[in-house]
Amino acid sequence: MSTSICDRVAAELVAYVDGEQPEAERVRIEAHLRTCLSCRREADGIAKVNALLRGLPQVEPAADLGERMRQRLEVDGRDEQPRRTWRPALWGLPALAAAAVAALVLYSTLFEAGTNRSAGAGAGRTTRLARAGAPSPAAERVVAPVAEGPEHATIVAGDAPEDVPRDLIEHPELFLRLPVVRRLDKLEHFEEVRHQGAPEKLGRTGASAWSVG
Amino acid sequence: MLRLRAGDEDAFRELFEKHSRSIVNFAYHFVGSRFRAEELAQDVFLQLYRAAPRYEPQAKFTTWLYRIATNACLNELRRPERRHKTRPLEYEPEDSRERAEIAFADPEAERGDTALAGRQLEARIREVLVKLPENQRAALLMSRTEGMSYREVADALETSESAVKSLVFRATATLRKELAEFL
Repeated sequence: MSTSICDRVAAELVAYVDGEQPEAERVRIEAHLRTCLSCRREADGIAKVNALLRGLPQVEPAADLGERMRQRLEVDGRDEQPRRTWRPALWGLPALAAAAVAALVLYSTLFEAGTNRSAGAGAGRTTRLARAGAPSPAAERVVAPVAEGPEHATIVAGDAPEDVPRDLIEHPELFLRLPVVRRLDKLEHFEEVRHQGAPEKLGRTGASAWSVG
Repeated sequence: MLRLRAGDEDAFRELFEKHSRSIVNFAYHFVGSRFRAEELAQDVFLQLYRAAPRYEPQAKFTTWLYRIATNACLNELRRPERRHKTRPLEYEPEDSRERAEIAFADPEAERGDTALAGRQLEARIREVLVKLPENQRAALLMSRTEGMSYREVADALETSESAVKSLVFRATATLRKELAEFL
């Protein structure tokens, strides 16, 4: 017959079977179990459930799991810093200045590319980012082609422009507020930029999508 | 782990060889899919590898490892595509090889009826397991299949021993009820 004592013991039986009860509590429960068939059966049932769980067969991992792990480490192993995190506080002023210059270059290029396309000038144009100075071919690096229908523009990174405003050089932190600067980090991820419709967000007109060719 | 922190890449291989099977099984019991369990085990060891430079031996290594594993499993279950599934989480053996492996080891397994009963029992256990509330499942699995103490489970789940005691109690009560026909 279940009693209030049984109810109290029942609440402790799992921990008792697990050997997780303090000594005094364990002695008290054992004393009760000697006289209560119902609680003994309850304890037996708990022990059987535990045995079933402990007896669950272990699955053997696939034979190539270690090799897959090794390959994954090669790709992702030390890539622990989220690349898309913008942390200007850690960059320091020189880095901010560089970012601001890059922002200006990017903004100018996007504006120029958009303007050229909207003007309907010929296909396959190449827009050079570095308008000031004469960058050597070796200094050029194709960042990404931008295709739109029959037109095709290629953004080329070259030397930084020489006519950078003085305010930009002296107070690059002011440019952190520009949307284009805040989105600089996304330029490493063209697929994401394309899906997010970044050109529109960056203020370009006439461009519906970016593609990486 | 301290060796890995010091840059010893062989230490990672040794850790993986020693613990990956346990983690795969823990994840398998947790999410009910062997394929996902292996993917999750890789996620766990990738996190371990990345965390190595910052590792401080403040807790038992296995406790720390199972904390990562539990979080990985919980994240897996909370993925949007999981949440939006109309069907509840179910245990699904994925191939015939797996079905064969999950049969209980039994000296009389050659007898068809015994093997069948073993498979039915195991399938039933796994069905009940994957339907337990997540925290109950985590606590029960660590306690039962991994042999961790309530204190260790509490550390892994970042909760109190009394909370673990309650979680294990409720999970066991559910299993007793759902498995009554087999007890």
